Amino acid sequence: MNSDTRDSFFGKLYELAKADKDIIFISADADTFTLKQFRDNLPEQYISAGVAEQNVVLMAAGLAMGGKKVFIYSIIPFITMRCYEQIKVNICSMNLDVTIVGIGAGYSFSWEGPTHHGVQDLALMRTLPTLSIFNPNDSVSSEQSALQAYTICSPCYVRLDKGIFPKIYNEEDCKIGLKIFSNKNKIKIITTGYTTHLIRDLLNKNNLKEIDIIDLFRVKPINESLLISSLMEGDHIITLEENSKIGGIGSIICELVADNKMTAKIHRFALDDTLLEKYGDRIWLMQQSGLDLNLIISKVKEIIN
Amino acid sequence: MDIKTLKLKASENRLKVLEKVAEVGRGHLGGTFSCIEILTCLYYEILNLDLIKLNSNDRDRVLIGKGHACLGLYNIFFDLGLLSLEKLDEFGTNSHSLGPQLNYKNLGIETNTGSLGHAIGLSCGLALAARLNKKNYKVFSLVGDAECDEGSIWESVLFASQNKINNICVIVDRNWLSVTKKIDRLDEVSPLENRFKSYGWETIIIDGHNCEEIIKALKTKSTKPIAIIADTIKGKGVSFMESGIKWHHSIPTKNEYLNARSELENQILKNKL
Repeated sequence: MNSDTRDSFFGKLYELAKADKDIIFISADADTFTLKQFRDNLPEQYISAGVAEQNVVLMAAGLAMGGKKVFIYSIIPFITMRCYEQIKVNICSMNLDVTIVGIGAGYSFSWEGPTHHGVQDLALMRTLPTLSIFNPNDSVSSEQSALQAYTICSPCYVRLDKGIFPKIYNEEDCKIGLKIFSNKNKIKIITTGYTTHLIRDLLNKNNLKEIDIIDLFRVKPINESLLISSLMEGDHIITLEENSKIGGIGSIICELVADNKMTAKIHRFALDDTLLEKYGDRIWLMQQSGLDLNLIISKVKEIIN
Repeated sequence: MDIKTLKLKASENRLKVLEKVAEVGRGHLGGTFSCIEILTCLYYEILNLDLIKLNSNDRDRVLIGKGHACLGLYNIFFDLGLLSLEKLDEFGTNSHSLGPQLNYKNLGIETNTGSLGHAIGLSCGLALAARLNKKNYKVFSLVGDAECDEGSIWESVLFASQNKINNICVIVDRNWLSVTKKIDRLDEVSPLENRFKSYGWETIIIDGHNCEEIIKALKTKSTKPIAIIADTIKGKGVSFMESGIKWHHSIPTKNEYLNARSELENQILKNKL
């Protein structure tokens, strides 16, 4: 059965927490439906710490120093950017067992406005040593990100989306950190999160089959060897993401290509470095930020011809 | 340990700090000298050192916000056998973890420092872990008064009282100076003791250079979290450094060093009598 990505993540976490009393969950005043069972049935392990993200990160670090496995939760910009320095100094520099769970990847909180958009966090968070980053986009990868974060015992960051999405992952893909849908063409699209679903639909609609799609579930550390071996076979690499063009997976792929002296041409599709001054829905916001998926279709057709 | 010996330890520590700062050409004399008696009383009188040496889960924790006062701590660690002379001598040289801020890789040091406003929140987490793990350890935090400008401090102070954390004791080294300015003693809107009290903390004001008062305050028992506001003098012990803005991180000239040295040596002699 398919389920909302949030329910998959928190359902798994609840299961783990029932079996391991050392799991502590701290909410910075953020909620979601499935958390109710955690709150009601495991009150000793659930801390409601109020709208105080800096303290939430500090406490999480303190609890981890005291032997706990801590998960902290709020909306992406608030639980990453608001308390970035606490994450850097107290979680990452001491390599503590804390998982930061952010809800609202990309424009999933579209109507709440730019304060709630998770489009810059990836660039910031990937500069932090010791931090693993997961960007799940279906029920399986969401559930697996909870399990992997629990197992890893070092700092993790999980970016959650909202809603039910087609299942694309299995457990094995999650272990290797990415999903290679096919690996036979000279055009490769590297994408992550919500845009993976969008581009798959669009390529299908346009009956474009001469393209390989790769979805990155684990954004840091990326599975370099697998990615390199796949990208080595490509002439054109298209990167697509619902993140700022600065520092996201487009940047990661450029770095990888440059560092490994690959010769493929790279075409980056991401959000422009501009301010959003008006409200709108998710797709409208992407277009306002220069991310129009139809442009990718044109680009693909141009390359093929 | 009797008060006389504690005083002697403190004055000897100041001299060693001065020597090291002069030797390596970096350090924070003012804010180290202001908290020497606090650190001395804490480590020689309050903490169970055996548990710290064993890195036992039952040890009391000390979280230091003002990590730039590290040299005062390192000298105590050396004296108590937590740090070897060889290790102490590495201070200020390349490629060692004993540096001008605290690093958790060293025995006895709980957390990395360098950025202010973190210690009380970390202490809350450790104090909660004690409650959940059914441990009896206590968590002490040492922070500066200028450090209390940080908003994160007050997020944590509020959390501690709302969640009835009663195994935490914060000591504020109130030396009335930040890096660039004097803190207004006549500020009636927000004196620290009122702030902690209004957030539901047990608040005690002491002379932060008086060992009897420090020990008594550190032994206070309460159902509330405890804040000890320790009034101190930045640069304490060297007349021309006391309450001087310059001595947050200035390095003494040769003459200043000799004069400071002579004053500190006299205090050691006096405390030996």
